Amino acid sequence: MGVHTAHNAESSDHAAVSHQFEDIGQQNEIYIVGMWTFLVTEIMFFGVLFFAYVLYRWKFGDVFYEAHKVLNVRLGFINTTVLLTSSLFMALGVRSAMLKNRKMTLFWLISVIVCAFAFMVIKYFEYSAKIAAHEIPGPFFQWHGPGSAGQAEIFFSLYFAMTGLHGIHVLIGIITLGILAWMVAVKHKAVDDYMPIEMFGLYWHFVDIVWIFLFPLFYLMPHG
Amino acid sequence: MDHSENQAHHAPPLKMFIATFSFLLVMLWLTVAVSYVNLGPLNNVVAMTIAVAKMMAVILYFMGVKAGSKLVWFWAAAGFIWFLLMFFTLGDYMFRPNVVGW
Repeated sequence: MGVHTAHNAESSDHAAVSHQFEDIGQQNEIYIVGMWTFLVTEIMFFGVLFFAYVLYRWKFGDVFYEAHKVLNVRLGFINTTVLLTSSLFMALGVRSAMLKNRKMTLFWLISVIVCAFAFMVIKYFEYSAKIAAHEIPGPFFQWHGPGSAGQAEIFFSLYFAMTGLHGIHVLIGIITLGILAWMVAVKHKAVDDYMPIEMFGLYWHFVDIVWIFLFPLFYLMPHG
Repeated sequence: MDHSENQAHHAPPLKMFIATFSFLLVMLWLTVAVSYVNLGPLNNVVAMTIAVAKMMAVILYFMGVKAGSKLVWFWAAAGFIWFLLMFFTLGDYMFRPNVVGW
């Protein structure tokens, strides 16, 4: 519908190359490197929490082991499966976008939203059960298991901080996916090129990787 | 490199994604199964080895780093190298006299 100027005619196949780049290949590589740079900061963001976890588990291993029994392995397993599936759907969405199959791109993006939403619903039930049982750190914290209540509280602090920060990432993912899906649906020109979806895919896979570590560390803790 | 006439030629085969996903699911089942077997301190090693294997599968295939350029490889590796370096500070905690309290 738009008025195309003559010099834009040949770029109808792919997004226009910005003037600072040699060609579309270089532009795409820089987009991906930029996204990875952001992910490096995300590794630092989550990294310190993983470090705190290792340190406290090493110091308070016995109480951590007792406290971890409160977590529901079955729900954790289902949520891991849901998230791994969402990563597959995301990869298929990026692939469809590369192949310029708009309908399938939209389908896969919505499938990822459904998975992400299912993850948050399961997480909601897990959190509510723990809040009801006074296992949330703070003035109402109660610990009836063996060992120090203070040490158990540190376990739950780490649990809520790490799964909570992860959950916030899933939530941001849902919002961003919603925007991307809407843009694909209305044929917005920003998503003519597959790059925005590819970059979001990198973020989504990263969030999946964080959970890949959270699940065994919190739900499948071995004794000792 | 002027072979980037259209982007469609980059699209990886469907089979690769299905294989990666199957690997991830098998590893998930394996890590849950192993957690019910008492291997002593080896449990931690096995759980983390499986997690790293899953992470590598996601990075290399889902995130497309395997097919990516050297620069992308470098950035992807940089974050994790930093992460490992941070754990060297654990040495300080290990050789410090125990703090009373907490």
